[in-house]
Amino acid sequence: MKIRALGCERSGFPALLKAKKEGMLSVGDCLEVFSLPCLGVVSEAMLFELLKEGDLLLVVGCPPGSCYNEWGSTLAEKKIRRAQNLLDEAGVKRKILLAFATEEKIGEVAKVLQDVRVSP
Amino acid sequence: MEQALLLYREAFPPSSLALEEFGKRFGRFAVRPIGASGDLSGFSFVVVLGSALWTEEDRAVLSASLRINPLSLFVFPYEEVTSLPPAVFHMLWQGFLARLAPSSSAVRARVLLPTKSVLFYPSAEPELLDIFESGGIPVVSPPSSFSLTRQGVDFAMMPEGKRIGAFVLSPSWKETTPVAFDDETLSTRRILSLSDFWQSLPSLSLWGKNVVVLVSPWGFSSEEWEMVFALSSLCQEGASVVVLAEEVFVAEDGFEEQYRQAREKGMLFERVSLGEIVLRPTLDMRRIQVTARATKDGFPLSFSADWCVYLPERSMVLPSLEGILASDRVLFRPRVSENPNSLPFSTTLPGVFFVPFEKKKFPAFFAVVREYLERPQAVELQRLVIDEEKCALCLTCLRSCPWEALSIGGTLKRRRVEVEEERCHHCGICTGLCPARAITLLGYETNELRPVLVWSESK
Repeated sequence: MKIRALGCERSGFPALLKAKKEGMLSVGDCLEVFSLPCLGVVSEAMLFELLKEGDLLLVVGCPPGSCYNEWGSTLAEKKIRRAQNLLDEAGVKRKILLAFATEEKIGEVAKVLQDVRVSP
Repeated sequence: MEQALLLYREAFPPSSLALEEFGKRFGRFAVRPIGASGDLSGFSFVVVLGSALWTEEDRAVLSASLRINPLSLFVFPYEEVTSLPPAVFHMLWQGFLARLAPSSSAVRARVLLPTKSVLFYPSAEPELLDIFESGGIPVVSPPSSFSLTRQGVDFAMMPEGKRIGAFVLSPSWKETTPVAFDDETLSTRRILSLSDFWQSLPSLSLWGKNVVVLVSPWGFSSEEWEMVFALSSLCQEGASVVVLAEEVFVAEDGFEEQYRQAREKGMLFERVSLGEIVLRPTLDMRRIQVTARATKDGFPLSFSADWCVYLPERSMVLPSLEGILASDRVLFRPRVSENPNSLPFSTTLPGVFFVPFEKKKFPAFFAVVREYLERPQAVELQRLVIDEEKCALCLTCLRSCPWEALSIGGTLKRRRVEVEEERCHHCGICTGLCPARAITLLGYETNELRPVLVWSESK
């Protein structure tokens, strides 16, 4: 399984690095990490483009209340939900997961990936 | 106080005078050769003792390799200045240092290489394909219908999404006569194009006949001028040959010699302005009276020509890219680039080239395309660009920006959204929310994302 992970520069990307160090991300065979200035840049088109070459897209950003750019994560959450709905409607099996984590609190990354392990 | 760094090349170390002045301008500074490793962050000015020949691209490549803000990099043409007298050098150096100003906003850049592949449109000659294949640049064959979009420094060919570095157009060539011939003159059937004239030469007896050659200044090839010079052999057969041209083409190997020999054999060359030439058939319709005015002295010239031979004027017609280059606002019509700084055979669109007419120039054309594909290009990162044509002024971006970096400006007649670079934190929220998709954050376009890290576990 090929995982693509998207993290914001403030907290998502450092969280991903730490999660990798602690062995949380050893779900698939291949992991590609993309870094963005903030999750506010994310658009549905970008999510689908990234999913084209991956089986699973993991998006990690600041928790909504503490987003550096106020509503970057909130907007990303909305868009991811919409994109996932579109995927489900079209019957595409690929998944987009969203986790809110910082370098100090990476528990949610593990929690989100737990579900994948259980129901692949 | 600002901290500065002086970088120099090993071949040109800074003189004591230069260092003394540098110390006066910046209290705290460091001096290092360019190749030396070390942390370069924390310097607000990086001065490089370089050369006047460095281009903007060289600077961009240097700033990317040193990982510093290109706006804080300043290049002084030291190589050219070292040999000047100390007083002059002192003045130049002092002036350069006084003009240094800190950058107001950070710019990040990355260096990209175009993908090594070429697409020919609508078709390519087999010789050219051979040159490219043997030169190691793969040629992509286009499907029956496709479209191209720009992706960074590349083109992406839709629908497959294949990346193409250079797009080469094969133009069609439209031939016209250098002078407008009227029906009456043409009905003498004494007007031939140069190639037709060469083919019918064996069947013509030219002793005592006059041949007038009209050469247009546009779109000739050197082979055709060789044919013109070779007409001098007719002079030895008793004919008289006059060449009327705006300029005689001698800028090729051996052409000066051929020109001299042609004149020695009795061929006449006359500089005229082709627009002033008048052709009139004689009453017996067997000859053509050619009247012109010499450029040299304005003296009227008149020849009675038995044969009027012309070298056709060629104009290039580039294929239209309508429907191919996807863009929703401008229908791109490529034109030949007139900028002397751009590569030869290039058009006004970057990365789009045209095939030259002469097959002799194919190797040179290949070299140009290869140079383009192998030259790294600096691409800006993290700058907000607003497409005014797409923007509907809905002001969603203004309301969504957490940093109030966007404002409305422009003139009363044409309002537009402006970005205040100092306030922008490059979060990209406006790009995602813009309903017209008019805002782009450079480097973070949908197709431009590249993985920062890749881990693969082989089981």
